[in-house]
Amino acid sequence: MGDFFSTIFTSDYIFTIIRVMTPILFAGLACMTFTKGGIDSIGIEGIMLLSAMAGSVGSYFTQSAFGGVLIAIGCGILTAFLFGYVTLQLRSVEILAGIAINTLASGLTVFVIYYVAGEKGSTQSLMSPTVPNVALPVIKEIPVLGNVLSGHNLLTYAALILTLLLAFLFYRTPLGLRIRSVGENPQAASSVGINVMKYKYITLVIAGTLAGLGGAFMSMGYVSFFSKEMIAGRGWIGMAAEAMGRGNPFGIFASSCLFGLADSMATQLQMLNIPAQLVQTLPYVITIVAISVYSYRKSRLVRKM
Amino acid sequence: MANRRKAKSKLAYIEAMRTCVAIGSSILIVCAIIFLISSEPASAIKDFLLGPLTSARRIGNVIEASVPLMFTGLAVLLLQRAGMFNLAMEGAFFIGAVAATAAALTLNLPSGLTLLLACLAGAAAGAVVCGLPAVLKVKCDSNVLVTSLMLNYICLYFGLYIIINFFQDPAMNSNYSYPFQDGVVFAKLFSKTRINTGIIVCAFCVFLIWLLLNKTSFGYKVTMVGENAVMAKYSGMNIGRLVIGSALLGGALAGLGGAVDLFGMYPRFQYAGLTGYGWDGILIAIVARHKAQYTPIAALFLGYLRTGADVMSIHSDIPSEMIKIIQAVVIILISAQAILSGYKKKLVIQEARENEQEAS
Repeated sequence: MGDFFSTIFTSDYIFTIIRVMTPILFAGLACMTFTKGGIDSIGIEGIMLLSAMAGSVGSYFTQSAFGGVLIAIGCGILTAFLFGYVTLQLRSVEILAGIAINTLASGLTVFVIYYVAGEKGSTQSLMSPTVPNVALPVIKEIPVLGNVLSGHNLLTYAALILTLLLAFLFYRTPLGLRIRSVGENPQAASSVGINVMKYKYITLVIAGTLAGLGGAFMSMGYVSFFSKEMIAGRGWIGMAAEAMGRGNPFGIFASSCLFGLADSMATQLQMLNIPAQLVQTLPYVITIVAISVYSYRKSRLVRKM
Repeated sequence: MANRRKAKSKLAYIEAMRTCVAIGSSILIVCAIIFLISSEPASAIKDFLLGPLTSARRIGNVIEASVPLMFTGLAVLLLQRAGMFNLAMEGAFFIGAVAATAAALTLNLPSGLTLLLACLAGAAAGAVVCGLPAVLKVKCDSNVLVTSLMLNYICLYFGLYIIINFFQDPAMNSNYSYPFQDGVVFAKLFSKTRINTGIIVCAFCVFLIWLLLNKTSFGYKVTMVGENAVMAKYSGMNIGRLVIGSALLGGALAGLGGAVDLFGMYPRFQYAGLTGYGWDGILIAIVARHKAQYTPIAALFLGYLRTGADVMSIHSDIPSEMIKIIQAVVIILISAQAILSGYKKKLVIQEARENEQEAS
């Protein structure tokens, strides 16, 4: 047991948690935005996958990490718009449209990298610049805390700042209030003169940007290339984080940390001779248990009222 | 009455038209993409559209490819019939194959009996997997979508754990299991192809599900729950039991599909990851308009496209993954209510007017 704790509680380990949690936090924030605007978020997985590919390929063509991130964001917004067009204008069933976006992403990404990189699996052969890691000036001098907080990817810091910004946006500004009202009751919102479609599309822009950043982090920060199916369920874990965090940015941050913890524990526990595959199920098991417990308590509460 | 029947058949005709328009336009889109990027577009398109018909082996490929799709298509049909978006069929298919492998390699019985029990083990494992999100929904009111998506990954890693730690053949360098004993296999039906007796199991399942959904009270009740849960509740139906029941059955079909695919096509367990057949099942269910009797047609259609794409990718510079673009466009266009909705509305109004005249 002493072994166990000495592997878990090191500053390196906590550093890893923050790194692993970043894409989940982006996904969770994107899902939160979707949900607040009353849009189903199952397409998040596909939006992130397409953005990851766009980021890597874009950074190769522009030979700049910034260009890559911008293209990833653009791709995220465009894909979110496609989803919006299909569900809002063509009136497709939202879940089916989301599944279609995911299917499209898994085919289209392979298609594109085959023509750009010449192979179907990944873009490892392309020299694409990545988003740099940043050492924070004063904080890095602090003994233990410095090792944990400093030296992360620029996008990780962006995710943390965006968490605060979104909390402000949704709870302290008229725009946030309108988005939430459109999501909660479009008829009521429309009756007081809010243009429902306009705010739905604003929701899509914000969520698309967040998902695009999450995708960009995967192919330009987490690793330095795009490989097929590299999102590997992180978008859906983001959905779970959103549900567990009760749609609150800080709750989502906390549950993303929990998933980051479980995910990086998987890597650590493998060193202690526990079968790797069993440990890999851990983040998903925790999600199901946490969501069920939370929903059970909520439904009991509703029944009492 | 006759008028109404005529109008109803007209509506069905529109729905069928929409399916055809969706499929046609998605194929056109892909052909346009091929024209833009291929160096030999004409031969690529010819391979894609006609390739599957060029030899007996390829026609066989179409039919083999459609068998697992029929199973998952039926599974999705049942899972969604009660109004739940339970997506655990992907994991259920995989874990079905794992359970079947485990049973086939541990049981020491005559081969026929082993095959039967292994298939049942697959079905049981699949039922557990799809049943769990439904039980959690009914008991805890948890989000089925999220729990079933998470469950797919649990199935993947847990399944690989079982195979690697208990049944892995050390002579193979991948996560392959030991080969099954002789006779634990669905026998081949035709030489030159891999079409096997699994297809008979499959046809039997299609018939059974058609019977269940159309001729039994269970089928009627489940459909009612899916269409109007409130009304079902007030007419005294036990919604929880129906939701869980349909999920268990759907999961059993997906698990059985995994077992049938395994024993029909492979000498040992050799899936590297989730197969994607569960997701394909969603397309099958949509194209089949959620009717059991049409799932074979929908599955053959997708099997045909897959084989065509494979033929094309061998002879040309187009990767076979472009089939997924077709799948996505078909799902979007068929589920899009706005397409042809004007015409549909006109028909409904026309029908109402005719009824009015009849009454007066």
